[in-house]
Amino acid sequence: MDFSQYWEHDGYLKIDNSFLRFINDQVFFSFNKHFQEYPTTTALIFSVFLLIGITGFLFLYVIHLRLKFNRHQKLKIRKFAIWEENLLPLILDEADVTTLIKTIKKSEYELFGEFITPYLKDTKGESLSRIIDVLREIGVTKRELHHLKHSNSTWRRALAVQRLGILKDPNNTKDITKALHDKNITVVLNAAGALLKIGDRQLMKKVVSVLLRNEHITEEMFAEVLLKFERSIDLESLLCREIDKYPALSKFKIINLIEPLIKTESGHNLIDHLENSKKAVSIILEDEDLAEELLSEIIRQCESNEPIDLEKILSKKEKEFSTSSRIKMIDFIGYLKRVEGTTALINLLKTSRNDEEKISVIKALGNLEAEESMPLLIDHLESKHPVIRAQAAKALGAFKDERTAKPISRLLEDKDWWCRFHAASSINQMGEVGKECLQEFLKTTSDPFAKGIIVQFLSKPQ
Amino acid sequence: MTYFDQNTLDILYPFIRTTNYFITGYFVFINIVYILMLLIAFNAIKKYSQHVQSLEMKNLFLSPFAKPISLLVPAYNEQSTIVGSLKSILQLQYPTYEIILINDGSSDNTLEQVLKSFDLVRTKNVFRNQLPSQDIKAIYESTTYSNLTVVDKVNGGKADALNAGINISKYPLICSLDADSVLEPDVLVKIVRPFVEDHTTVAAGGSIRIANGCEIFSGRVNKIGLPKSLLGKFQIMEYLRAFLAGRMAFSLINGLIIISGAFGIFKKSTVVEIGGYRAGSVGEDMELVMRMHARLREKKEPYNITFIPDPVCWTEAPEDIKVLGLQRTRWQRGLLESLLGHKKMLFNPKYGIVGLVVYPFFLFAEGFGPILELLGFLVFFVSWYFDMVAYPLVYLFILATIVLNILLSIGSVIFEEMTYQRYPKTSMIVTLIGLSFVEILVYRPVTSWYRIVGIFQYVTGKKGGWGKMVRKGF
Repeated sequence: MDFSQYWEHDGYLKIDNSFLRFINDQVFFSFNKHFQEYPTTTALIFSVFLLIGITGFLFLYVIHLRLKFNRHQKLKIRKFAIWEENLLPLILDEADVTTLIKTIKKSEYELFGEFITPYLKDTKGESLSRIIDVLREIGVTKRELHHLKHSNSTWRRALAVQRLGILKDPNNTKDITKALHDKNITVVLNAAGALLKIGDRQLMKKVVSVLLRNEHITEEMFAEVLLKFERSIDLESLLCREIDKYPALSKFKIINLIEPLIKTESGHNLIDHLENSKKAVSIILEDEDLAEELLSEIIRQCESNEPIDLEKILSKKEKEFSTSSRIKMIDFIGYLKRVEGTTALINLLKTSRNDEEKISVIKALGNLEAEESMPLLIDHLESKHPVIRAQAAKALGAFKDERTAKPISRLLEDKDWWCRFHAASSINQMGEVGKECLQEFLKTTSDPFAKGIIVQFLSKPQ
Repeated sequence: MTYFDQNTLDILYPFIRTTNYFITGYFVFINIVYILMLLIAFNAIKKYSQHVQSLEMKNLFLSPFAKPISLLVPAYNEQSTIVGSLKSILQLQYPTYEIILINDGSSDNTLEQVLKSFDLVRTKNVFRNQLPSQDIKAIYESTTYSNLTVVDKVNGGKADALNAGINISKYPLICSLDADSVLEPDVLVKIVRPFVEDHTTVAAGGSIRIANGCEIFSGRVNKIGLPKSLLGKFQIMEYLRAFLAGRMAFSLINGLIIISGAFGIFKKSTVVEIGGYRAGSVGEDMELVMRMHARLREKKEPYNITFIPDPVCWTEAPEDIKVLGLQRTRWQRGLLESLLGHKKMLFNPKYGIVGLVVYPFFLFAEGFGPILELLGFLVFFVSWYFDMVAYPLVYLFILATIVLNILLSIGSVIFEEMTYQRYPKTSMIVTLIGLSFVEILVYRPVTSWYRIVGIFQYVTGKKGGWGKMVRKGF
């Protein structure tokens, strides 16, 4: 299209309409005239008016944001009430999914997601399947899968995989597993978390392996993902604590409560937990009223349950798993008190040439309190590395074993402050015997630093 | 002007013209930088919010894997607020942390109040003297709260008290707090994130907000409000601009050189390595961060000093003009002391973006900016006296200044609205924006004047007061 016909030779618009002609003359022409006569002033006036315009726009934008927020809050209250009313019959299988779906408009999917997230986290079994059906019907699952596969935005992919994890739909496992190899760490971490939430135990090894191989994932981030898995056993760990606390009165009730969970993903986790809580296991096994089926199920699960092959990971050659990856694993073994890892840890402490790794193993052995590691830990009190000496003293303190008081006490005169501190702290933890040991040492030592640290612990308020 | 001969005017005119060009250039440059910072910060805040939303860290912060923190609370004559502040700190949600209150030789009843309220008993704790500090008179531990330690020491100033706290602390991260601050319960969880996600992080600062006008009960902010006084309200806008726009932008380019002493977290080993806080310095918080940048860049070590926009520490702001003046003169002295103490960094490529961009910007815009503003006024009055004023240009200049100030203020309010929306009523937001129309005419000249006094005090070596408020208490 040729626009030149609308322009005069002098560069102004050729407009016949009188009003437009007036605007053209008064605004464009006068602006040009002024600009030619007073360029600086005109440019400044123009800039200031532009700024005023932008400022005015931003002011209105702020007000718009606030009003939008207020509207959203009102809508949220109203819709949450409606959805709550319709969700309960659905969970109880008294209504089908269409009743709830009818109340959700297309523009309210995000809001519905916000509403349903806590229910997804807390619901299990058939009720969960029904909620997943709703989300599938309204296309939430499809949309999030689309974002996961095709979005260029890292944030959107990470959010999609996080939401898919919350959905806990096993049908999405394949796509989420692919996301484990995403370039972005956040997406990888969320994919790992999502798979653990879905609870497919077969994938556990793969997830751990991928996370351990990624050098950019810090120990804490690794822990966060694995803890997601652990957090899902909150209810069960609570039950186990209850067993420990009230063995005589409540065990039957608690076991009954556990029973339905056994065949679910939470039940698997429960067994992991029970396995580590010897007392709880013995209480369950000794219970005469325990149903045979349940007992055999527990034993079978305990035998077959091998989520992470610790020995295998820890004995890997350095090329396959870097030191930092092994350290992540070691920390976690200690935290989870995976006693089956003790032998592997002891072997690693004997053979490792890396001080950082040794420190990590010593910490883990202290957490495990496995007696067979005591002689090796005592040997490490003589290490040349001050942090290793200090950590060995601290780890031995966890055993509260009087036999270790003497070897630890040698560190009370150590040149390193932390060695003296942990030595005194560990001996002090041994109760009366420890206190006597410290008092005895105080009488004999001439080292002012040793005296100082001993006095500190002996004078601690009980 | 008949009183002056033509020769005088001939000499004066080029001077005034040059100064005018210079001042206008400075004005244009500084405002372009501020607008750029606003845009950078906008992007940074958006990305930060998205990142936090997409990567949850809830489980970590309920487990022992979370890095333990030593909270250092130096206190000097804080008897009216100290108990409330400690209660607030004791309620924080974090797996492992210790609180070390350092009573820096208070002459009031700060120590007695604390001893009485928290069942403290004297211990004979020994500690590592890693950093120099004044003598420690006694160390107390609470029998009720196992993570509370109180150190009573000879007065040596805030930096000295913090060094003493570092010597007593047990954990790898230290967090400096003001004794008159109120923290939000999840503040530590948020501020530790950079240390968890990136092991090269050595320091992180959090957002500070003004508590005046808020309803605070038992160490927690129950209801957010605006201060009654105009001075308080102006400071709210000022803090929003400084924290949400300024620090966020510098953080994105790893050029953050100020982490507020009221709430900042540091890797202890790095602080100890560079010799801790510099005792006797006025702006000990900025000086420490400057030294961190200098040392780590000299060593060519990768590091990250960051700002997290959402952890909120509420603090009482001065609502008395005299106290505000003392505070601002002290801040200006601290700023110049920190900057000029590291002159070697200025335009030095060895110090990367800090030496080439951030340091010069702070020195000329924040350090000597008020002098240029004063020069502008003086030149205006001289020009007016000699009838050399181009009035339309002056009006335009004033109008542009006002509009730009409003633009920057509204920009910060937009950040607040898009992210945290802490001010619950629409009327509060309208009030804040409304005040930005007059702030440049009323509040800015006042603070600029005190900053000039601060520069004068720094140059003459005169020590001003600390700007101690009579605390109303929370």
